[in-house]
Amino acid sequence: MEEYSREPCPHRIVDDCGGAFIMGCVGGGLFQGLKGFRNAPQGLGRRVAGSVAAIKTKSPVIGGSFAAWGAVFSIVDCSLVHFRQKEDPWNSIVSGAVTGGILASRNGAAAMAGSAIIGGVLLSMIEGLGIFFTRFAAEQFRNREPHIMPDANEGYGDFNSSGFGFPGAQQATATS
Amino acid sequence: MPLPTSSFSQQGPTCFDKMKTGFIIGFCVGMASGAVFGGFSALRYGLRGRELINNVGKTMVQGGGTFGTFMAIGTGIRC
Repeated sequence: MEEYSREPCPHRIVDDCGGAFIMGCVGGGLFQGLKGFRNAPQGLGRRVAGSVAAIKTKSPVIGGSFAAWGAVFSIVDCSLVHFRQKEDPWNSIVSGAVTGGILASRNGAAAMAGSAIIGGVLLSMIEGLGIFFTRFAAEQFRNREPHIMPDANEGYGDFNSSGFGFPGAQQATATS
Repeated sequence: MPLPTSSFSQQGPTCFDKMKTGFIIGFCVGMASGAVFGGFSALRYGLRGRELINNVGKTMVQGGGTFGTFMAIGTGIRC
């Protein structure tokens, strides 16, 4: 996910697959642990045992799903980098859409289209928010506007306050 | 997706700072996706008014929490 710490292709495929697997195992273990704890019978010992059992059962499955997603995503991403000779957010967005479509291919064309749209929209939001956060962080280091010196206006004070007065104007008009 | 650095010091951000930033980004993405997909589902079921707002709001917070947690873990792996 952190773009500048990713390996170059094709090592990125293995790296992303492993990272996604760990993310799925740890995150899935976290949520499944809570779920197992809550669904277990009464008693702290039984609840902890239920939590551990749920983690052991579900964590590898969730990790496997994440690894599959990460691997397919990275393969498509590296292919796009190779063909386009460019690394930009569009690679990630297209990769998300293609990955969503591929991994739903067993469910038929309609499910593929739906999952592709979901994958594309999700990656668009991730990239968009990432760009937004980068801009926000960069804003904090921007130079401030230089202050306009207040002394610069001192010399024009009398000129402005007098209202362009000409002392002899009225008398001249009365004469003519 | 580059993660912004949270400070300008010599040592750079700590692992925990990066994870917090990852959680914030993940939470925002989760909230946005919860709003889009939750709103779509709720409107398809015909929810309106307060029921719609409650349902979409709950979906947003759930999505934000889940996605934020996974993003934080993913960021922690990369430290």
